[in-house]
Amino acid sequence: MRGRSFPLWALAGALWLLPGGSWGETLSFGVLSQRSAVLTARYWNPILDYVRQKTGIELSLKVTRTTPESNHAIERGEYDFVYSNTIFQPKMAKSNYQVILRPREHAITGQLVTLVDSPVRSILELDGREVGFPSPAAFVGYAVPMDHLLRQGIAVKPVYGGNQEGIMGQLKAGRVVAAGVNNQVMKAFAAREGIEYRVLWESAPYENLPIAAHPRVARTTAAAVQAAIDGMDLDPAGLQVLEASAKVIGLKPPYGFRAATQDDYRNYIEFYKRALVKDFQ
Amino acid sequence: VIRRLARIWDAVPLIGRLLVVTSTALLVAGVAIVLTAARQAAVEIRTDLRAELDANLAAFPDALAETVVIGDFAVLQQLLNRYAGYQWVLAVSYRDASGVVLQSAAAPANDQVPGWFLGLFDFPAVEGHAPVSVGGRHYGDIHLTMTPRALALRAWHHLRGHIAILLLAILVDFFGIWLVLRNSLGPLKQLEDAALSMKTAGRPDVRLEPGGSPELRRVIESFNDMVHSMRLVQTAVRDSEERLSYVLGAIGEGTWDWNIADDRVIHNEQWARLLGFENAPQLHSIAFLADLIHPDDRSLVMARLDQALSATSQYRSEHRLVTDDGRTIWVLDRARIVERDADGKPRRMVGSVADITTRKLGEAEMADQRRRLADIIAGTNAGTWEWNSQTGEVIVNERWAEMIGYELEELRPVSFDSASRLIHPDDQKRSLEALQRHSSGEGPYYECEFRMRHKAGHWVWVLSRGQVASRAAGGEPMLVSGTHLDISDRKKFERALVEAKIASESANIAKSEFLARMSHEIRTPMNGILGMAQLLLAGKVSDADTRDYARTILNSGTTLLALLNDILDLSKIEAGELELERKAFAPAQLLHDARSLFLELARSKNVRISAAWSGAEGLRYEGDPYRLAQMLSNLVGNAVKFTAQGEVRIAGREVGRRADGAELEFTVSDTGIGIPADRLPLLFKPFAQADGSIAREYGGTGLGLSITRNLANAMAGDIEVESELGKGSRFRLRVGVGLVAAVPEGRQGIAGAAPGEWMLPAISTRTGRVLVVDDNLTNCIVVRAMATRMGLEVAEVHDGQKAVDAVMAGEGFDVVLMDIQMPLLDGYGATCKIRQWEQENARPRTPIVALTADAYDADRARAMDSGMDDFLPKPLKMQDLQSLFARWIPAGPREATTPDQLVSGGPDPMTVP
Repeated sequence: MRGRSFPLWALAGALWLLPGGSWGETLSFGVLSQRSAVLTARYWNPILDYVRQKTGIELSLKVTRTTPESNHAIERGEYDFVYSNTIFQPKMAKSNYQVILRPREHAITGQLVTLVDSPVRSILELDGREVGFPSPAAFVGYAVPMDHLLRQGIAVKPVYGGNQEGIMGQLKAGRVVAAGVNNQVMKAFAAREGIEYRVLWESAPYENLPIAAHPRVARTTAAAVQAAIDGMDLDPAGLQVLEASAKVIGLKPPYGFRAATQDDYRNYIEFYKRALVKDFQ
Repeated sequence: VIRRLARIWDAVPLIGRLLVVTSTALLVAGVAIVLTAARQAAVEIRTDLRAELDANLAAFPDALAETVVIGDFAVLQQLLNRYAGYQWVLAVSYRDASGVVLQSAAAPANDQVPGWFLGLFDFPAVEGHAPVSVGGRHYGDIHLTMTPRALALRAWHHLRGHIAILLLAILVDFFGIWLVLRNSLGPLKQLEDAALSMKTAGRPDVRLEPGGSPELRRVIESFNDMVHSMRLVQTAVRDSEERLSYVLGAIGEGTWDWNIADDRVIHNEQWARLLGFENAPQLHSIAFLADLIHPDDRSLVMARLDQALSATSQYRSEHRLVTDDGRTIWVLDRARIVERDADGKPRRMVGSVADITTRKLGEAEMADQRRRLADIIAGTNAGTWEWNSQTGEVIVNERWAEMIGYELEELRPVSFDSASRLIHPDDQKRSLEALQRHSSGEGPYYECEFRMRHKAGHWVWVLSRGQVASRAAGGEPMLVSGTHLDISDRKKFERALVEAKIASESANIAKSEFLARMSHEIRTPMNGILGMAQLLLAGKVSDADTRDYARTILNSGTTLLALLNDILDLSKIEAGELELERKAFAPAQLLHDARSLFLELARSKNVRISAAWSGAEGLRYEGDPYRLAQMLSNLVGNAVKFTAQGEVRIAGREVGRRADGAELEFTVSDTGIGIPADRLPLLFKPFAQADGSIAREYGGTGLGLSITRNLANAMAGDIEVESELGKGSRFRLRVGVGLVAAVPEGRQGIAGAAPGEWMLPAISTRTGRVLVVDDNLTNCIVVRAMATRMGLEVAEVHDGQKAVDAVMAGEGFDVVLMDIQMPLLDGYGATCKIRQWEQENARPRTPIVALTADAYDADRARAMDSGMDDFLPKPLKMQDLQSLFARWIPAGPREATTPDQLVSGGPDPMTVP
């Protein structure tokens, strides 16, 4: 792709030499596939545009069709920046992405939910039944609740919706009696779609997806990006961008990110060490 | 070309025409519809295509967004390829923001849309582009080119389909029409053949089997019905014509049929017969007909014909025609215009001619009769009436109303009741009964006389006559008609006639009785006269007997004369010619004279007679002493006559006095036979003695008392009688008289009423010549005897002419006694001649005295007018004759005899030579 658009690269190089265009380099910004590519783009493109305006650093949004594809790209270290919590999985360790920002929102939890009018009142009642999950790659949506089910000895037949929206859609449509979900995504979905749901079980809190930088990204660049995004909610223009993007996917405040380190996500690492769930991707 | 096409078209049969017309119509309509639809489709296609392009450009970026965001160009190419396969898309390409271009084009179209179709309807390709942006990031642009070929192909296919359907429709139409008409024309041909055969045969006797479509079956059934109707009509027409011919023949009407445009007239045989043609031209002009019209009627008839031709009225004329054999007949000519051309001008006129000569003559006669009847009714002056007993209505004429003083209008409407109310109440029942009697069939007519009230209030006598003119089936009268005649005059006349008849009958009876009595009265003295005369003529009669005989003759004559005088008086009284004198008289003298007059007669019957005036002896009044003496002598004469013994008393007195006069009463009482009470009322009527038998016993004319009463009435007095049968009567006479201042001495004595008057006077003798002119020899003898006795010389002639001759002979008569009525020349004529002769010859006037039995004053006046000098009525009294001679002949030596001597049978009797 780069080869084919050589003249543009030349132009980009020229732009990099210009004053104000700090680094003149386009860095990739991969996003864990949780939603459709279009929604993801509509959320992230304005933020990345804001970053470019603040730092002159051009971030190009990278989206895959599926979470495994995203994880695969993360595992290979294809993205310069990444927005994902799968970086803490053991197999991702060699790409060595380092957390630079965490969301301002509360930590997320994994939940097992049914629709409020469902006869199912307890996870015990899920034994032997089909339970929906976003995908085997979903952390709070699959790994955490499934791990709990396994520890409780409740055998369910997992049904994957492809991503969070997919399985929430199936739950809404009654295709599955219960689903494993990210509590915030579920809450936003329910608010957006106008449905009520019952929480059968909820995990301990995990910080939501962090933004991490690949070790190859220059430290100053990563810091510039970290600084631009960290102060974004304090900048009126930045806040406006955050609010508009939040509206696209139905997020509730607080918007924006705060600077963070690897230590803020220690519990992820711990989980993966002792997890019973094996098919987690 | 058009004419040629028209000729060809004319030759095309019905089926062909229908096919051409319907196919053309279908084709034109179909093509129009198809083209319009295609054009509309093209417009819609263009619109749709643009909308489709816009829709695709709106939706396509979103559809590609996911792939573009992910940056999966392989998938993107696949998407473009797949999109390019979409039927309307001609080409699609994606240009990345970084300059990467992905494109795809549709496979070349393998369609059969003809270029002309595309060109005709204009199907251009459309193109457009749209950006692909997500979240503010511009990823690239989509270019889209869309073509309408697929739509155009569909439109082309539709067009072909439509054309195919159109052609199929025309084909079906062709076959449908052909089938239907082939089915229908068969029966129509049958109809044509049937009609032709009917025309040829001239008889509507065809019947067709109904077939074909319902309409045709109905047509054929209608045709059959029509044929049937025509057959009926033809039969009816034939019958009608036959009947008409019979009828026309029977009533003798001729017909004519005038074709006006060609001026040709056709007529039937009856027409020719009517006009007496042996061989009339079958065809002729209207002028020929006009020539047949009587010259006096021609212009009128032609005017009527012209009027009928110019107006819409029918022609009808009664006029005379002159037949071929010269007779004149009356005809009723009627005609009607039966055909007109488009402008309304008459083209044909049909008429009939009926011989109405008999009717016309009848009408004329009828009119004549009617006029005559009207004249007669007018002439009779009769009112007419007609009573409708059903309605009670009465129709009357003007005369009916006029008779009772009304205008006809004043009485209308006249009903039986209103007319009855006009009838006199006393006559209503009678008139109604008369009408009912006739109504019930009694008598040939009704007749009744009754009174009707005139408008003026009086009653009019009406003779109503009538007859039942018509009766109902039950015999009750329906119409009664009749006349009224005013018979008021007749009624009046009848009444007068009845009264006159009654009067006349009673007068006749009285006169018959009178005549019988007169006959007796005359015969009795005549017997005395004639008997005595015979004895005297027999000779050898002594002087004493001679004197007795002569006295008897004298008395009988006097009686006759009295009778004549009474009759004269009565006739004068009845004629109103009685004239009373006014002279002074002494009533005492009158009473004395009356007694004296009958003293001798009374003495001879041994009846005492006395007269007494209760008043001064010389008292005088003014009146008519002669008539008073006549009245008294009548009463006294009767009293003496009807008294056999006893006495007759005559008395007189003044019983009342007024300023201008006095009333005297004279009574004559007797002791005679008296008068029955029932006869008293008739006593003073003329010719009515109390008893007819009395006259026979006692004589008398029966006129005396009547004359006496009339005279008393004339003197403002009256007479009444009291009588007792067998004891006597008392007559009381009252008269009004004047008072005397100083009047000359009236004539004393009563002339001609008593026998004493006829006593011979003392005769004084004279010398002279007297000419007696009389055709009656007896009279001549009497006059000659008397004149000779008075010493006069007498000559006599027996007619007027001889008298004239005698005078003109100059014999010198001292006086001429001239009878009036004589043959040859009467007394008046003779006197005239004598006077004329005397005047012409200057002779002295010879006194001429009329001597006549015409004793009226008028006769005296006429005698004087003719030139006579004096007048002496017959019979002659010797004394009067002597006085006459004394007047006209100078006196000679007197030698007188006294009347007493004569009456008492003195020695110097009057002799009759």
